[in-house]
Amino acid sequence: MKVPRLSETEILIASAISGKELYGLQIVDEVLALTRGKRRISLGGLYTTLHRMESKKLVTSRWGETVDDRQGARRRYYKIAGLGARALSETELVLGPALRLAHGMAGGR
Amino acid sequence: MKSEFIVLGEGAYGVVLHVKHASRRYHVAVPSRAWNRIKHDHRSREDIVIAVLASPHARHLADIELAVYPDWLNTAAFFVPKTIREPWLGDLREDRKRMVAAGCSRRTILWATLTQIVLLLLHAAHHTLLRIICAVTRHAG
Repeated sequence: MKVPRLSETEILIASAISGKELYGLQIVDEVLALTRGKRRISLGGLYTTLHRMESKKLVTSRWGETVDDRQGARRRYYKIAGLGARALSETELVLGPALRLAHGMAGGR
Repeated sequence: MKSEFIVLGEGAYGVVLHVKHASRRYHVAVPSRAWNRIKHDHRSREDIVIAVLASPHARHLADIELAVYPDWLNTAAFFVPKTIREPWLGDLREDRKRMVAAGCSRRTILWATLTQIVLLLLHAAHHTLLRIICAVTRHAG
């Protein structure tokens, strides 16, 4: 199966949920922590992206529990799927050396 | 026959739902424990609606004044795509509670909520547009 390319938001979300199962607000917090406060994803952007990623089979989800603060609405937990993990490692393989090289060149000037 | 529900909030009678079943709409209240049990036992929304309407604990609110606080978020939720409505709305409510706990002013919370709604609608419109363009260009190519 062809591994799809990931957008920036998809990379951030996939990184946040790799190895963990998180629900929406936890993913937003995790992305904020991963980027040291530089990227805050809106809930709308998060869920539309997650929905798209799920249709591309990059993530899987399950319904969770509800708490009082949610007034009956259940949480939905997401975790990275095999294809998503592959897409993330491929992105790292392609972008990692390129970014390091660019960083080195910028530092050498 | 398509059955659907939306959680309106929690009131004096328990969790209040707006339920659509067999082309009819109802406001039904279910005690929280019964609601949690129904959701645990039934996974599809269709089954949940049928179980709610059949539950001996369910109470039809058609002739009773709706026992929930008027919540404009519920009205806004009808415009949110069904696929992401429940988790998005729940997270938004949880986030609002967090902001209240953090001491944010009512105006700040209102603006933050409005921004989230606008961003969601823009994202949804953007994705729909992209999907249409992709389908058209693929068809043309």
